[in-house]
Amino acid sequence: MVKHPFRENLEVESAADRQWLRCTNCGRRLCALGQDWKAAALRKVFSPTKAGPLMKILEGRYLLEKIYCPSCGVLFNAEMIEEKHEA
Amino acid sequence: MLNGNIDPITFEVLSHRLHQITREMGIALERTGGTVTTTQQHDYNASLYRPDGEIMAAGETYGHHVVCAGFAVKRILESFGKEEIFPDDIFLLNDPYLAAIHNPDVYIISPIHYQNALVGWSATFVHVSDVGAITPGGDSPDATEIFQEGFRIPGIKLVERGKLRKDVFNTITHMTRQPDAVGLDLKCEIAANNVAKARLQAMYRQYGPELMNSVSAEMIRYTETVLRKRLGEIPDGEWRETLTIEADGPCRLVLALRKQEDRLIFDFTGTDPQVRKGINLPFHGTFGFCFGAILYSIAYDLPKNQGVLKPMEVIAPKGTLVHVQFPGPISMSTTSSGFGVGFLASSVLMQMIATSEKWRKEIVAPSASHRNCRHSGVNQYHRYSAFINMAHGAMDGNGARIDRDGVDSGGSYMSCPNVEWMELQYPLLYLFRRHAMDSTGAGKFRGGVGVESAHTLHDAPEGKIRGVAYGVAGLENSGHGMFGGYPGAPSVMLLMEKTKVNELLASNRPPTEIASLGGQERILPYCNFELNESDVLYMRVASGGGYGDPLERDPALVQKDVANSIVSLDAAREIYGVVLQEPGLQLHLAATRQLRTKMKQQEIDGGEAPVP
Amino acid sequence: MEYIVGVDIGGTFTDCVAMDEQGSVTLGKALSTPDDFAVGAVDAVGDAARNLGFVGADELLSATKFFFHACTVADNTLITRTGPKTGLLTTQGFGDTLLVMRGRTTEGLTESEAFRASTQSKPDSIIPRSLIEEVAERIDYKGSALVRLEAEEIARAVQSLIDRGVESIAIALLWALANDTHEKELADFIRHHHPSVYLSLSSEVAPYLGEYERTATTAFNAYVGPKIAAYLRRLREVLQSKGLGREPLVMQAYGGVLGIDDTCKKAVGTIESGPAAGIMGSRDFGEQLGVGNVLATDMGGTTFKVGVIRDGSVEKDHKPILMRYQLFLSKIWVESIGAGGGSIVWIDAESGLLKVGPQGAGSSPGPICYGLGGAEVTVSDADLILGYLNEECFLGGRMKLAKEPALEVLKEKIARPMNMTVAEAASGIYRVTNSHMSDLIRRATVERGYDPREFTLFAFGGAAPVHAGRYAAELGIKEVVVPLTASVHGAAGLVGSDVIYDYGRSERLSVPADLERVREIFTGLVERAMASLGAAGFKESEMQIARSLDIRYRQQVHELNVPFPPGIAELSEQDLETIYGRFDEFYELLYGAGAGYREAGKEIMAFRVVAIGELNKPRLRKYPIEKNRAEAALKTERKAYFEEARDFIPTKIYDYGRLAPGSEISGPAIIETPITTIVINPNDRATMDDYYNIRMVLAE
Repeated sequence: MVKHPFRENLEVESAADRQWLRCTNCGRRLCALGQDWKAAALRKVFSPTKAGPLMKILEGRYLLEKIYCPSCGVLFNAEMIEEKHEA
Repeated sequence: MLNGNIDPITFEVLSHRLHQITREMGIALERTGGTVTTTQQHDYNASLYRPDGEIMAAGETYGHHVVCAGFAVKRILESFGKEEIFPDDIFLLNDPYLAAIHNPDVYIISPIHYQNALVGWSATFVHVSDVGAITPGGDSPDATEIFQEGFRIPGIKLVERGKLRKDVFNTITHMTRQPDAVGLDLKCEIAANNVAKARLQAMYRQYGPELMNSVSAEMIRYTETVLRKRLGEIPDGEWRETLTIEADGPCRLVLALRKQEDRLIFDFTGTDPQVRKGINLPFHGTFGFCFGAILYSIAYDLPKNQGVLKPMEVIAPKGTLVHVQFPGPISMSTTSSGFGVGFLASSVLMQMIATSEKWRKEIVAPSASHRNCRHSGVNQYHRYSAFINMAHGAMDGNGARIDRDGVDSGGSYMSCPNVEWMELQYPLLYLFRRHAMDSTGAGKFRGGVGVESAHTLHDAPEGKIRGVAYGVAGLENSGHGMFGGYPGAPSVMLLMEKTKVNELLASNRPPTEIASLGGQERILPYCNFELNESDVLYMRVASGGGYGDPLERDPALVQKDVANSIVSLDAAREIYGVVLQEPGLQLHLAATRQLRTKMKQQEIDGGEAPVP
Repeated sequence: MEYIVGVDIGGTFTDCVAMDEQGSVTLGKALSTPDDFAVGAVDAVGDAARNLGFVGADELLSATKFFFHACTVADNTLITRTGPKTGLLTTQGFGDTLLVMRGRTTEGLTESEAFRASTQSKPDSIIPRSLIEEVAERIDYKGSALVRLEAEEIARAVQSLIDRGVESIAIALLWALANDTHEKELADFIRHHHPSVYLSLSSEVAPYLGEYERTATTAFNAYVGPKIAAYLRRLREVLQSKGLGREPLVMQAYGGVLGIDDTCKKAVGTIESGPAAGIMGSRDFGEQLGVGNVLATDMGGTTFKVGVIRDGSVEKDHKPILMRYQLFLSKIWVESIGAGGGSIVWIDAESGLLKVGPQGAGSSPGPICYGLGGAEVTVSDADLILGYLNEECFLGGRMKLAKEPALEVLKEKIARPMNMTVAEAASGIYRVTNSHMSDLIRRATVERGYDPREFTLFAFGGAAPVHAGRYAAELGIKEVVVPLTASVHGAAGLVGSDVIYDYGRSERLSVPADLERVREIFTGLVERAMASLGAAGFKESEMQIARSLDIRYRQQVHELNVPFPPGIAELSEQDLETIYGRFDEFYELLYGAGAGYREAGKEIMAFRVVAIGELNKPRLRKYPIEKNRAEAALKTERKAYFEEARDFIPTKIYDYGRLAPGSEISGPAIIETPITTIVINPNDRATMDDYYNIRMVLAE
């Protein structure tokens, strides 16, 4: 049973005495409410200029991270994250 | 919802009337004020308070000052005591360690009496032209403690029983670089307080003290009750946001919002310690910025008063950027940590209302914006100005909404002056001021486009003027995207030294492209700088973040954006997957569908996974 | 017999007023005809002609000495956005001025609209960005050309707009107020190569400081100009073919009339000119009644307007807000809100508070009681339920009202949820509506330093006389006048018009200003104004010239307009000194004693000249006072609700048509006229005066 929306393309579902986060588009359950849903999703990073030519100034310091539903590929989030270099 | 003893019609009439008074105070400030900040940007406070300092009616401007002026009323009550407060007195206070946010925002506070009983207060602030700080105009990047940031008055009588205390007035203006301008600023605040007093007294005469007192108490109770009911209907939860301000290294602000039943707890635990640069915010400022965020999201339609504050609690550890301890510097606090807190509070509230079917339509992608510069120097008529506000932040693009684009150059609650007005007053020449192409955060609904502008010196008798760079510094600070929408382009302030601007003009070519200017560029952090002959200051303000997946944007809207020079033809293809062809920017729907499918597939299959 | 004819075109009706040489007034009305407004104009003249005993419009037009006209063609073109394809030429680097506006732009929004971030917007640009062409040129604040406009650039920029199919071009360059050469060069080229294109130059239309407002004004003018020009030229042709021997004169928003060719050059000046005519008429009318301070209120179906006449003079606004744009336009100052008989009543679900408007039911479907399918309770429905309106005899019996359905819906949607009786709810609606009106009047008076108790209130429009007794009393106003011509406010004002030219320009001078420079600027403006009046057929002895200055304290942004005494006597240092002193006085009147700050110094920012050519017109006819004939006009008695009794009480109903000058009536009472209903509250008194006006004296 759907309880309420969580954010665009994600909603809170009640089932078996627990609350789950699931994809609004395909119904895929990501995790229990309160857990890190981003960890359960598909994450990809791109050059910051993917978001536009004026983002060039961020190159080398930031990356554009996009997070998708692992089943249907619908987009959950996009934001600039600091670039971490492998030690 | 309403207390049974008060007739709802009378309630409606009187609450409307009180709001009108705050509007009228604002008009008086704008009409009589001296600085761009007051007269054109609407950057002031004009509000009414109950006898104990609780907010009775907030004006249509910044929420944080409404709250802090309420604290100022309480400080005056404490330090003078009721027996020393007389009809027609007017007080002045600007101490950020008591109630204000930074010294240049000078509060003028008037008790309002009816038949010799204290029935309320009015309070205003404007950003005065100068406070005698280490840097002209007040915002002082070099200050390391409050003692360098100008006069700091804990509460003084400026007008006693209707008579201006000239000694006090002159003492204050005398401490500044520009006594006549500061005098005008103080006079405009006195004018607005006069208006408030006359109007509120007229209401008391018409309706009687008993009814007025009970209605103003009821208004606060009513707002609190409705707001608590709204909160009760939204699912409980916790939402987090962080922001990094660049000030000689990263300064992190952290916020967690916990919503428990009908209460909101804003918890800033984890925020970095205060720094020896004036970006620290006093606690009451932090409180005030949270109030503002609530006001504009889930209380925009309620009587704006103390009731909004009642369901909220703020936890801000002492000695941090959001709860500075004496004598930490604060002069740039409003536009740095202040707007930072405003961004954080707005972001967590947006995440919260996204969980409510009823409230999610109010979502606006939040923005960490407002970079700006101020100048000081001698103008073409050989007069000195301490405070030349370029008002850049008033042209920020606003965040996208759940069902529509953000407002183009919608301004962060401010308005901007005309180019001609600035050029007439100051020794400046604008090279351009226009919407910055490809700056908006892409999305199903895009952010509002921000403005880029450039100016150089023109007819400056000294061949130079000083400048101060301030605001929310840091390249990631612009509009933030929501739920798949991209962020707006970073706001940048670029000083271009020794350019070819004058050669271009001499050869009859308009210097309207920065690529053609040459010279040496540097991005300005928080700093003082000089603008010399042939230097150019380029500023691109924040643009709004997008909402939702750019690949889901209606192709016809992208086509319109290209026609209006907001999105380039390349960006239409590469970001939105929309195929347009010259001549006439014809839209190819089938090709667009194909391209979008291909782009999505490539992202999912091809993109790299983030480094954990 | 010769006549003066005024025709005012409104949204629904076109009104005509014809005044003869004795000052007797005859009214005419016809439906407006949006496809070609000239048809409705002639129909209205025809109606008045028949009321005068003529066969048709031709006979009256042939005997017409002056024909005055106010039209809403410009207003409609803007509201419906049906202007021609319009382009804008502007300075390179500043092509977005019209779209950036003032950054955050809340002008024209209500309180909760301004606070609600999720729905805020700016208006769609009056000229789309794709039709704005930047031109390589730049002038500075002194008027020096930093980048000269070259011939090839002119040809390129103009051609590029022509290629996009524009029929009208606005030219607004930075600092054109200081140097108009570049604008003129562009205009000359367009006139020469594309003579059919309508031109609007910022240096002619609005030569004032501030590129956003100047560009917007110039763009509005370009947008409405072609339609105004086409309409007025056709109207002239039609009227002259039907016998009119004179040039029709067209009302401007600043309250004077101009000939058709002058009007077409600055078409933007006709926006909201109908209400301006009404205010001017109220001033003249007040003068005849011996009343110098007038609040002219007009309440129709959708809007409520207030104009202020103080000491016999109207006030002007030089920076009005229209369609959310701020313009540089001299305009009679009118405040308005969206509240009228058709305003919809609702209950805020969350708060349970009663709200009136701003949404309205319009004229169709209109209030529930009109029986045209309206399903929302409106102010008029409440007025009917309270017994003020007559079911059988609305608009002189031309329309029947249905009370039962209004009563049922009001009970269901308003009274029951609010836990009130139907009477309490209806009276609540009446009170809230009246408080909206009095708030607006308060804004128009108290906020500007005037005491409303020193004013007489005029009630125009169908709905005002039902409410005026109350909203006037709330402000302590003692006298309300319902004029004979209450329903044809605009047209009645037109017949008193004079030819007026309004010129001005920005230039900044520090005070004390150089007397020679002040004289020089005024001389230029006055010469231009007198030449225009001369061309319109006036002799120097018939001209009145008034000069004024916009002054501010140094470093302020907003100015106050301060007038010189009328006339064109050479200004002296003493005159300037007097003006500076009056500025300080005005300032403290508005913002309280002690608010002025002389120490800051002053600046002159703009120069203005108004030139009036007075037309020779008869005064309104006065009728002899007879003995009190109120008894003879008593129609019936019905129950109406009055707050004082908190109940319905027996109320006498009078027929306006059977009252004679000198008749006296005490409240509670109602006077029904063919056009409106006048409610006289308990303790108030009404008399009919020697012009057939109803004058109410309100109890303390």
